[in-house]
Amino acid sequence: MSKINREDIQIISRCSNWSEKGVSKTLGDAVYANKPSWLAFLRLLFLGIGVSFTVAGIIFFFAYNWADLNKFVKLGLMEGLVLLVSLGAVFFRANPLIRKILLTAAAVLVGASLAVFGQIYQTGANAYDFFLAWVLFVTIWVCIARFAPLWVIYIALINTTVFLYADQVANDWSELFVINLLFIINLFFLVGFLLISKFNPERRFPTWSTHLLALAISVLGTLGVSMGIFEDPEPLFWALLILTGVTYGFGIWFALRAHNTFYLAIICFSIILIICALLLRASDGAGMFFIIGLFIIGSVTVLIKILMELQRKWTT
Amino acid sequence: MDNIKDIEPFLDTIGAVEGSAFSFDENAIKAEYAKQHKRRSNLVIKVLSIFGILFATFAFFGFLAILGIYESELGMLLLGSILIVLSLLLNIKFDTLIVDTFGASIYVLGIALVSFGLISFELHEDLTTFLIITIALCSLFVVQNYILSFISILIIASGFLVFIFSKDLFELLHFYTAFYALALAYCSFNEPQFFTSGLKVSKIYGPLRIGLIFSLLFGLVAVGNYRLAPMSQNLNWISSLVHISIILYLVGPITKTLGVDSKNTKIWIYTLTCLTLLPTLFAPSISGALLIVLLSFRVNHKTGLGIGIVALVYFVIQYYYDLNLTLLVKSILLFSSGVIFVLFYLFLIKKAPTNEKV
Repeated sequence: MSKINREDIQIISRCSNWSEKGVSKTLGDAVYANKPSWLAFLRLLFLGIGVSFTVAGIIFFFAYNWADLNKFVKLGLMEGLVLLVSLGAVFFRANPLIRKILLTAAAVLVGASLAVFGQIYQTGANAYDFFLAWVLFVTIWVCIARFAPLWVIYIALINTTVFLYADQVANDWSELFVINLLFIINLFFLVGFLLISKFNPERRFPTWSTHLLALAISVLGTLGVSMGIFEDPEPLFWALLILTGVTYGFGIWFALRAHNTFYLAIICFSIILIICALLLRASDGAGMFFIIGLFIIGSVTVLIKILMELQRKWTT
Repeated sequence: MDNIKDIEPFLDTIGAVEGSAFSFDENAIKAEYAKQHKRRSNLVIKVLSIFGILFATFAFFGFLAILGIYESELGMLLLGSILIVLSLLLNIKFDTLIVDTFGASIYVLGIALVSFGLISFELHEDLTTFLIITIALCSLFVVQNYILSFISILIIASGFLVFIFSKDLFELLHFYTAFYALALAYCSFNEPQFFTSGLKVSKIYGPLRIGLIFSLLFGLVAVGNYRLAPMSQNLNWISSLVHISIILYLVGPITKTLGVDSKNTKIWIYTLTCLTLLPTLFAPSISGALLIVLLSFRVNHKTGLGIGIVALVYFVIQYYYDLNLTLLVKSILLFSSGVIFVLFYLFLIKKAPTNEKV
């Protein structure tokens, strides 16, 4: 017999004279957080807040009255801190989660120490090389930590590096080229995450991390293709169109195999928005806006219906 | 439960506990299950429909703008009223997905057109706000559709905020957040009462809970950002006091669940909770987000929990960024509170060394 859930309790209480006291007891026993859940939650909450506040406190301390300190002291302090936290990650063997959190803190501190370096030698706060160095210096830690939040920070840093490089150095790169590049980079990581999760279940990446990457890819695909539709077609647009099409095709195939409604939802919604852009390109008159409104309602409804049908099929 | 047959033994168990007075309508339960089976949705589907409604409404706005509807006050008012009534009628008469989406879209459009229409007629803005709140409130009583109810709750909250901001009565934001925090807590602590108070109240519970979370968040964002709502920070304790009181009330059920019986331990827990929450007395957005996290975790409401965690992270960062203190004081505050939390963690693993996962 499967476990009773909130919806079951709600349905039965609607169609019966079940007492409030009885409903309350069943909700407490079957739905609400129990002792182990509360303990695990409080542990995570205290540890998460504790470590992040402590690291933030240290960063704020070094940011304070910087000018009074000798530059070698500043750099020495930051590097010492990085060393201390990373050694903590090496020697704290009791709890793997704490080690991973410490390594993540060390990776963030590397960024702080590079910022200090940038401040002393005036390399500029937004310079792409700051982020590039940050990426390079934490790569090995990211690989060995096997910790999804650290991976997400790492990928965000890579995206920032590419974006700033295009903005500050490669002025001849078109917007579509940057979108193509970011699309490929994020896709590379998503495919990597999914392959690792499939072939090495012990190193499985949490769903939220793969979903976040897929969402970033679909946003890039939608933005890039929609932008290309409104501008004069250039070879890069066709490249992005093909890339997006192939990715979405594989995405739908994978979602159907993995029974994942999230991928289907974001891919199909992206396609709906791209079609809207196409319709708007054809005409921007009042009638077209009305048609687009109806099209969105119709297509989203059909999509929801399909998703519900699939979900029902997959859960039974 | 995925199979209706699974519910039968459970109904027997309820019958055994409740006694001979317990009765149920088997056909109604079967019909509800069939409906639920047909319309079962998850968070992804709900978010998708919200985005669909939003984009469709924008397109309809574009359509009406090009047609020049915004030049006619009466046209806006009439069309808006027709759209609102039409959306409610469609939702009452039909129970299909396409009607849900279309109905919600024209409802939002209708509310916006009526608002613009009333403003164009140079009606007093307070009266306009009051009328819009009344329309949303009436819709809530007429139709219990999930998305429409959710939108109505947000419209009511937005109405209150428009009133506060248009009058520059920013201090009232504390009463706004206090009201929504109390409403959310009531909703969370009295879930069984909602379930057993008839079909309409039971149906509205889901959208009401998530609507209250968002409404409270609106208030917390405004209270936490002095650029958005320039007001004296000296009254921040009003909102925080309500949040902290609810969290302290929540400590009771938590200690009960954790099986804490010793009076001394309880006194320690309450004292430590008070001391931990004390620094948030002048940061209502942080205590409010923490309240959302704890209330949602207690009732196993994953969406609320996710929203609460994101809000908590955002408000903590914003608070320390805006804090009018030197970086050294900020550093000492953060470092010392961080160490205290790590000590809490170590204390907890020492007292309850289990390996359960959330």
